Amino acid sequence: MNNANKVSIIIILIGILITAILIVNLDTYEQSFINIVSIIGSVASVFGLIVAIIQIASIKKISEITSQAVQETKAKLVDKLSIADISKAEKLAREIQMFLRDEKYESAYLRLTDLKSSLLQFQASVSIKDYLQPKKYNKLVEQIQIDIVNLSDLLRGVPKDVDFSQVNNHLEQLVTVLSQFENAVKFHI
Amino acid sequence: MDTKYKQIIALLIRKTENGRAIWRETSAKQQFSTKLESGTILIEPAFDKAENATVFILSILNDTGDRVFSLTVSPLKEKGDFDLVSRLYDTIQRKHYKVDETLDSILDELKSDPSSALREDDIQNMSQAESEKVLYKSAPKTNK
Repeated sequence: MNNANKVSIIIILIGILITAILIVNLDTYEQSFINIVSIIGSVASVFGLIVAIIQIASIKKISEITSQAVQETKAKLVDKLSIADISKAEKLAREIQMFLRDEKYESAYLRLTDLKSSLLQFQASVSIKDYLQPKKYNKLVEQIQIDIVNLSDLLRGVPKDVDFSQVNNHLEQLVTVLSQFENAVKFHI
Repeated sequence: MDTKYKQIIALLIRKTENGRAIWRETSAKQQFSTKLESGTILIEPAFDKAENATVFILSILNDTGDRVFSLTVSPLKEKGDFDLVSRLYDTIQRKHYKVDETLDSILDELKSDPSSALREDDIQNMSQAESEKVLYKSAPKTNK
């Protein structure tokens, strides 16, 4: 039984007691059926109103607690989804490194564009801002965006001397940052 | 070139000269990038085989990294635009490699040497061959 119910029962008991006192204290000539009913009615309506207010306040509080619990569950769910996304992004980065090593630039480019989408989604995620160093992360995203542009130029036949060891280095740094983020999220859930 | 782009380049030159635009080398050789709040700017020289000349490529990426603008300026076709972009590239290089600071340091170091200071006026009045002769003479002998 919650506090609101306990208080309501006490108020009802007080109401009954007051009603009884009022009825007992009535003069003999006033103790008609109509008078007794009107006393019971008046006390019941006053105390009923108080009980109703208490119950409404209690329901409101329960509703707020429920809403908060829903939000927390939702946030936890989003974080869990983020963990899956982070693992996917890490895998993509590793795949891209392999493609670059094997000089499969078309495949590397396609995976890089997928990786970019994930990285931009992470950038917008509230939880990531709590666990990541935004400056370092943003710089890495910027470097990878430039790498994508350079790779795209290369595929279009634009003569360009791209240092793939640097691209690999950017991806390696990204994997480190993402795994740090993944661990931070896991331990906070 | 559109006036708007010319304005952007002129402002970039000023910001670079003031040290307010920080340019970084990228994974592509001779390419520099700078990050602004609304996007990223890339600049690089490239050799155009058809024109047999070096051109400059200026690209603008939006905040999601998509290339929204690309400009190639050639010294043969757009001389004025080429000079403007070329000036930006030179400014970036000078700032990035700290050319001015290095030259100033070298000059200060040479001036602090009394033997060099004594010959400075003389060198200015001499022909190039003569000044080279004086400089070689004044150079310290190295121990082999």
